Amino acid sequence: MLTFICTILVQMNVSLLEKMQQEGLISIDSFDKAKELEKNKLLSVHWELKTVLYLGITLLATGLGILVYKNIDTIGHQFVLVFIAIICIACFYYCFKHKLPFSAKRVLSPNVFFDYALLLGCLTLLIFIAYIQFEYNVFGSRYGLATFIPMLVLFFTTYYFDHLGILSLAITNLAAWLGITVTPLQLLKENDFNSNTIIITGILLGILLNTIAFFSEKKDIKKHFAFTYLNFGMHILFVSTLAAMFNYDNILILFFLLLLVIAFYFYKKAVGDKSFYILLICSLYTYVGLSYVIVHLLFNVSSVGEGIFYLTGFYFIFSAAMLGIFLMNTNKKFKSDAGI
Amino acid sequence: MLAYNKTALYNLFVRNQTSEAYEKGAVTQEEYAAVFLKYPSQLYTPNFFIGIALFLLTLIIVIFSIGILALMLLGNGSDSMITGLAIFFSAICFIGLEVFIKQRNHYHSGVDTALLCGAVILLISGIEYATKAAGLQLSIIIFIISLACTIRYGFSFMGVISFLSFLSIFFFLLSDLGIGARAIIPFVLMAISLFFYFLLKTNKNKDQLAGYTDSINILEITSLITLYAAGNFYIVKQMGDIMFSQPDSASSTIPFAFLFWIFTIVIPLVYLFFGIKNKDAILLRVGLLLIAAIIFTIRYYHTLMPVEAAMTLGGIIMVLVAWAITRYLHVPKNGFTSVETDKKTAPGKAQIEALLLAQTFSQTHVQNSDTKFGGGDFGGGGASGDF
Repeated sequence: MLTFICTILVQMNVSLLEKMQQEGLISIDSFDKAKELEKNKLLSVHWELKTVLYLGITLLATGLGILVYKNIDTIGHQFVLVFIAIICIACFYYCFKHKLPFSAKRVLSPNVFFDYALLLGCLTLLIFIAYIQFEYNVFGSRYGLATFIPMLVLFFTTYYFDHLGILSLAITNLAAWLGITVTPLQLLKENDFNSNTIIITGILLGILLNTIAFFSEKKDIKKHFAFTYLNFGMHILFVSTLAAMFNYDNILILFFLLLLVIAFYFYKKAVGDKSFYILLICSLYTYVGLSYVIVHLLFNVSSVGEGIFYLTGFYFIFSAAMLGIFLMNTNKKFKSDAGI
Repeated sequence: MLAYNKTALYNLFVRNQTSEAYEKGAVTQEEYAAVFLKYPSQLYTPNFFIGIALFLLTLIIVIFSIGILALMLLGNGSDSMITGLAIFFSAICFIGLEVFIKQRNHYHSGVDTALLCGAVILLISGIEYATKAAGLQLSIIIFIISLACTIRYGFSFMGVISFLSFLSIFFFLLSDLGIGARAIIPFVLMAISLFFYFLLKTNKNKDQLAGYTDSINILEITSLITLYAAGNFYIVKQMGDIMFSQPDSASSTIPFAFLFWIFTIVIPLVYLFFGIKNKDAILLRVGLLLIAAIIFTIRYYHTLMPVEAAMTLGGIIMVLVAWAITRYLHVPKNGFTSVETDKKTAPGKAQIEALLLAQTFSQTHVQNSDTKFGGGDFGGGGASGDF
């Protein structure tokens, strides 16, 4: 995190460049250019705007939701609904007016505001759909449908307007439709990983998302979405497989083999994409799985008494050192020009 | 002074500055390559993510080593044994740290970060366990240790700890002096923060401080925040209530209350003003952050309207302001632009943003039979700091 902040804060040091120029490493032209740039330096408020928009929309969507909920049986709530509808229409109007033509490749958003206008439009639309379900019960008790329709809306918006944030909303919605929570901070908290259905669904969903990632890269359909699919898919797949290992003692080895296959796939992917992030996630999950198997074996097999604790301790010291060396070597292999 | 090789650090500094100039298009590729050839740096700093992994793995090694040793030695667990073990292990961590720095050229690689964390935590808790120090004494111990580590290893988090413990020394000193001295605590802390901010600001670009660039930036932010926090009405009042309240005098106000209200509201605006005027990214961002603090402080004491109405209204205002600024900066004006200028980190940040949005706005809680209203919850903030 600190490195991230600091990269933002690095500024050109003119006196240093002057020294480089005196040493003959930099030409006078370049030095003048740097001086000129520093004098007329351009400060980007891109992320400040995004933060303000993000907070504004969070407040707005939450506030409106509570307003509707609190006034549900009074005359006031219709006023609130009209208000929500106006916001929704205004947002989509803005987006349709400013959007760049559709393409299967990456389409850049015309400005910072566009992304969040689209997001606000989607959120208000979802509040509306939820309201209709609550008030008129259109989908009856088929709750699946009540998450399925928003999901379609979200996926359509994602591809039509090219929006990474809405894609991740759509993916969490897809998972919710299947019965799993994949919101980053709730992945472990809200899912009951003792249930067979959740584990199996998780593994299948993980495979599905990775397949989509694979094909969107291969067929060049919105290639830049691939990482988001892969990221969600990778975490679900690893967590579900580990949960399966912890749950089914008798076929532990089977799921461990599955874990190794998955780990191999992502290792290849990390090497192919030169992605340190995938490498990190892949090695940490695999390390947890491997350590579980080894500690499990030690405690089940041995009859050495207290020695078991020493053995476990030595295992962790040794394995952590090994993994560290492995990662440092891989780091050397990837080096420079890597992405995320 | 710094444990790391000085020339290598300076060369790294030169390299970073040159690549910055290269990214901005001031320096040509040949010149860039020439500078890199002339200023070699063999310091080992792996990729950010690998650094995280190395940090975790080193911590595992440290923890299990202590575990094994404790298992062997602490059969009857006397107090002096525990202190001895902690300080002994702290020494081992420091030795390991020096070895990795001197032999392997590790520079903020995750390994040295973890070893330093381990060494400092063990040292402080060892001393604390033996002496039962608290308040002023503890602050002094922490200050001395973290200051020494900041100077020797240049880690920004150590710098922050030493600055905060420095402030807390003054806090405890003055609070022991009686009622009159207590009333001036906020002003003293503000004065120290302000002094420190200008000290850092004026000395920032000195070549001798090449190894401390990160620390200085982070400390600049910290001192701006402590300057505000020491004068914020809510914090002053809460601190006063917690630290010095007598049961019979549940006062509803504090001395110089109006002054603290002025500080609460004016300081962020001053930051913003100078941030915009001097195009200072740090002042601008801290100022924006503290605008939120103004709002929360005022709302805590004065309720103007129900919370949902305030949220809706606030949200609308923020969206409109952002819209107006986007329109205004359609083409860059007065040195400001709304376009992303840092192309290198942009894809990564976009991914984090997407995750944050999913965290905040996906209101579909599984297995809820009631269709839920409400646009997401507020739990998402935590994810933002994790990068």
